[in-house]
Amino acid sequence: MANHEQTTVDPPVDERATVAARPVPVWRKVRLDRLGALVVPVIVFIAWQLAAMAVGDVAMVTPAATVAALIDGFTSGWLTPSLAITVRVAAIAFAVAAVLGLWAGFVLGLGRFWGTVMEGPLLWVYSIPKVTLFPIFLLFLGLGDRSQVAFGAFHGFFPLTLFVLNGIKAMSPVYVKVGRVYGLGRWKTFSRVVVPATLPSTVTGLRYCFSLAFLGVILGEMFAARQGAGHLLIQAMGLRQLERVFAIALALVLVALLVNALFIVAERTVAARRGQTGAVTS
Amino acid sequence: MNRLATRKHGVGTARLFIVVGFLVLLEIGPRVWGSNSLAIVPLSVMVLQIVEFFSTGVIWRHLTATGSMVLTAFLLATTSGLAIGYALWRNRRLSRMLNPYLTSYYALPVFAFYPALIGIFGVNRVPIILIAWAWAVVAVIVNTVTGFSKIKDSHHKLTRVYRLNRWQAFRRVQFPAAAPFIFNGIKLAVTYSIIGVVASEFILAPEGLGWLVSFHYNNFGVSEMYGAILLIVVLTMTITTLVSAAEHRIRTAG
Repeated sequence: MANHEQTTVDPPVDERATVAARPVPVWRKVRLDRLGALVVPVIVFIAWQLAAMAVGDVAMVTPAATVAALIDGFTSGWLTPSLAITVRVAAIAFAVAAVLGLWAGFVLGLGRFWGTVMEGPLLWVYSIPKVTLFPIFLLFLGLGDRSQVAFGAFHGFFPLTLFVLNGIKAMSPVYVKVGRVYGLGRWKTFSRVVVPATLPSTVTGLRYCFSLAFLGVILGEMFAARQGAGHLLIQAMGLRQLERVFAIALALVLVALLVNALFIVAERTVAARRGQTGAVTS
Repeated sequence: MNRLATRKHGVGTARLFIVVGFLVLLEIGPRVWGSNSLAIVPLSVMVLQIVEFFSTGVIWRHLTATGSMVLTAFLLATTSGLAIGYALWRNRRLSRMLNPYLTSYYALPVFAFYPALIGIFGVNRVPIILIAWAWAVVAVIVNTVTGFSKIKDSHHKLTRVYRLNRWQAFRRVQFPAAAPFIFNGIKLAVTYSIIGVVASEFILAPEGLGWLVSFHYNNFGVSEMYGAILLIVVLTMTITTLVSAAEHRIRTAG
């Protein structure tokens, strides 16, 4: 190599002897904080087990007994129908809240004046204990599914509207102006510019919308319903069937976390896509 | 700039119109359409009910019960939230470990734990305060962590230039810098404490404002029920407005 024209400098050490070339042991490759995140449920489990052992099984149920009761609930069927009812009602409530919330959020967000005006009342309603309004739904819509769906939708509507509204407000006005430069009509501006630009906050809003709609349905069932997981919860508590109480709560938590995880995946996909297209982020 | 100024007044008056319009509807609507007064009563009847609550003195026991529980839950949530938030901010690894759980925390149907807590502690204040604390504390934690993480490098360098010890650095530089977010967390803690307590009372409790609504509903006392609901709404809005005003006052003074 020294015979040719010396345009490069020989490295002082042979490349194969450098640290970068050394094989990395497996445990170094695993991201420690990802592992750490999995530690949390384990710690919660252990703390729960210790607390149950300390308090005694008159008042508290161990994790093992809860899981056993949960499985029993599905196999012997005392839990499945009620849970299915709750999930179905929550899904419908979420759909209603999503449609209304998206519409209201976009209309208010794009109409600058009314958006600012309505944000105040929306925040007010968001901060009152909405459960206390549930009897109004019962009085108007009766004791059946309709009041449950309506109340769940009512619960989920407000965070979604607020998220979409704030997402549009945070959007740089440059985007709309670029749309005008390209001569995009109103609908095209909306679908090609506004929607993609506000997609992250919209997806987060939908996530909160489902969580709160689900919670609203559960609360409604706990107060006044003749079916559903919330009702089952109160019934089991009244009968002092503590394993069932814990098992139903665990089932509801698992459902909520599962759907939430799906939304988080959607959020991450949206965020990743934005990065790839190199969109101008504010 | 002038346009913005007039817009601001427009916003205020528009909101006033909406609120007043809603109240008028609430008064006239039931009288005109609601001949079956089993579903709703006029606004004036609701207000009269509230007056009666106070004049008969029925309300005080519930007001103090709810008020004391809200206060306890709020103080617990704020102190523990600030402490945990500060500890998380100091410990980056712990922060990263807990972060996914904190962002998804409000997906948990926390009130589903209420019957379980009743099973453990009985039907008294403890489960209610615990649920309200659980509902409020994470908002404080998240806002505290965010607030402290927004402290600029220049602030950190300032503490080193003046050679402040940890307590001085916290009190003089870090806390004031993080204050906006921390106050936002405290505002949320007020709201969430109220929601947590009243919602739990509504489902099952020995007494309280939330219990009052469910009691009257179950006993077909429609006007009393609406009176209790109106009272809760008015109290909540008043407290929220006062907290916002206090925040504004502190911000502009400091």
